[in-house]
Amino acid sequence: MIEGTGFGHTPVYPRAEKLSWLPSIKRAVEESVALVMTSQALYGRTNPYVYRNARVLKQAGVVYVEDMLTEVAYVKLGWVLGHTQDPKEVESLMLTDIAGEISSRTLFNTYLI
Amino acid sequence: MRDKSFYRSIGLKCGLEIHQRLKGGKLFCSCRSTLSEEPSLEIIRKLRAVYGELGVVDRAAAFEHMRNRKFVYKYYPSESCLVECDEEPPHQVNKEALEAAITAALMLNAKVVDEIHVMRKTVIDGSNTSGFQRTMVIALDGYLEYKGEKIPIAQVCLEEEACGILEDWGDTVVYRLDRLGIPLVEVSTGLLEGYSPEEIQEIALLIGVTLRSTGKVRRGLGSTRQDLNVSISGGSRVEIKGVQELELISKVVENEVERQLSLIKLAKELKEAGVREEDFKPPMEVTELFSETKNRVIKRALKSGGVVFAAALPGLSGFASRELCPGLTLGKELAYHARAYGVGGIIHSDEDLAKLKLEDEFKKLRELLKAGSRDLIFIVAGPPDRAAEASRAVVERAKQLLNGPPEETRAANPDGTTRFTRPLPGAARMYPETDIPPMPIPREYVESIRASLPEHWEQKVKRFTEQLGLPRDLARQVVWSEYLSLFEEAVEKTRLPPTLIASTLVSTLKDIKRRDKIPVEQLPDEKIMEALLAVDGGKISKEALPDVLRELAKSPGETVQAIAARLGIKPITLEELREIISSTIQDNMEVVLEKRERALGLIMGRVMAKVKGRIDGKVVSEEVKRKLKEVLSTSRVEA
Ligand SMILES: [Zn+2]
Repeated sequence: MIEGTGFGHTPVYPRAEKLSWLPSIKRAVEESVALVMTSQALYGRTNPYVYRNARVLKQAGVVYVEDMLTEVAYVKLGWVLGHTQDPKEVESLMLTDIAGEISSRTLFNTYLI
Repeated sequence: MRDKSFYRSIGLKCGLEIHQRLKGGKLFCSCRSTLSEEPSLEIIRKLRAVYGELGVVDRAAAFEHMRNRKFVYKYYPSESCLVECDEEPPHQVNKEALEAAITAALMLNAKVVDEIHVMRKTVIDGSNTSGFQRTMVIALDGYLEYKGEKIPIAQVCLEEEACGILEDWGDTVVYRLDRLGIPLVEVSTGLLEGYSPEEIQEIALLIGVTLRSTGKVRRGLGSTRQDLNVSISGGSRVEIKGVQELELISKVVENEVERQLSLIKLAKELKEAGVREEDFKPPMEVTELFSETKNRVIKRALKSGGVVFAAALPGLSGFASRELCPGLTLGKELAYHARAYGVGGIIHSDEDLAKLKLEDEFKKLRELLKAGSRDLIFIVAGPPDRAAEASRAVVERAKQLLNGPPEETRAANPDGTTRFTRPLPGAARMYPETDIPPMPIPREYVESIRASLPEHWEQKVKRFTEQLGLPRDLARQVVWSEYLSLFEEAVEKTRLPPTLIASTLVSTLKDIKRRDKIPVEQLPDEKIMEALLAVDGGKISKEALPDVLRELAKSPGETVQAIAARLGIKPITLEELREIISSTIQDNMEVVLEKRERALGLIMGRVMAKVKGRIDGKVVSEEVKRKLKEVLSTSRVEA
């Protein structure tokens, strides 16, 4: 589980490998470790398309799990891995709303709750 | 009447953009698009023009920024989310809408692109919370056949609907967020040359029926909208936005041609009269002159801190009342330019100044402005910055009269006239939507859609005639109507005669609208279907259908059952009918015995009065005849 900043970001500096998380992330994916991205922000939705570094992370194989809370995603990932180890299936199950852990719409008053 | 050769001779060129809302949810989020809710919150915003990626400020954006308007957005809890508020990035493109757009593109013989790029189109009137509208080219280079010729379809786009406007108070505009993001297909024709306004309208109708034949489009008020580009030789390209009805297109084109011709003629007249650009002087503030005014409008403006600006327009005296096209005088045209800056309009010297109680002030004004008797004088009253800008805009517009019609964006009025809204936006209006990656469109996907394309509308007419037994005219009416997909659904789901369904949808509903002035187009498909199913299930008779539909249109919240009960049109069974007939004959036995067979009309009338709308009239007639015969034959024996 990675609890990224904002939309779900980590450092991916292309020219400063020492500071970049990307090599480690790629190595993890190569070794079939499921990588799931949530956000440190309490409210709102992760998004792998707005900024370049998130696009790079998604392309590397990180699964962005919409607006799931980190703690919930952690428990869910444990449950999913208990059923399958196939990366495609892990992604698909993590992105399927099973018990209301993912909401398709973020409402205006979400922040007021 | 102007004929086709006239429009050819003046070089009429026209481009059509047809917008059609699609069924299903929103384009970039998971909200409903039913437009059926009450708002729960409002959000207030302002727009600010900034330099674009190319280092220039869009002309239209600068204009809007200058107007400094406040935008209020009404928020609907199930029909808007943070995407509509522009507080969350767009989600991925709605797959259902994408498929509908590709279907439409293929029906229009267009070539689907290999990769879809979502673009942002600058929109600065506040109708998009983001300041742009998202649009994507789906297909290019198609055609439609019309009178044996190929009408070019330049492009088919999929885009998001803007907010609906609820109120416009000049400095504040109220929008509804629920409409924002509804998917639309936009079909743009190539330049149509050599066609008359009626033919241009027919081409628009043809595109409309082609889109509806996909079965994936919405119907009802606001579900289609047309933009037109119109130009003539010696005129200018004018974009006319928001023609609500396809049937209004020919009138709008005719009016625009007339307007441009009048402006060309006026330019010539002014030049011949020796009017020159340098004769136009900027407006002056003349508030002082009106401090004692008896004119109520100006008095009110001054009381709330307003000012008055005035200017003389050389050589234009007497021209302000001239009609540029039916319903649009030059005075009104100039006033639109003032109104674009958020003031009420202008008052000019061609008006009845005595009635306006402004005779004295205008006399003094004429001296103050050193204006001659051939000059038109006008004033603008309002808040200081707006009155200054508005009066300057009027002078600028008047100056342009020397050069004929300018390029501009206009909006269509419901009566087929148009009004100035803003100068044509600059060219740098489109730029990539960076929040959505490009989407490759696999060929197999396109081919799978092509393999199961819906029927062409002409095939539908043929099938409805041959297989469903509709008269040809009725079949064509249904296919060309907004109710096509509802008709097909009702034929499939009920055992009602297709002719009954068709005539209900294309003529009964229209009658209700015309006779009772009820906005029957707002009645949702599901409610009409509910009424048809009630007839099919014997819950109401087909005679009662018009009454039920009328009541439903008045209160769509009610169920068909409740309405039937309220109207007392519970259907009766055959047994009940027979009982009513027997007792009616019994009650009128004397007449029956006297008039014998000729009593049929009387009995029929009395029975119908009791059962009207509750059972098929044909059944009543048969039953009355049978029973009467039976009664008469036994009575003869008795006699
Ligand atoms: Zn939404």
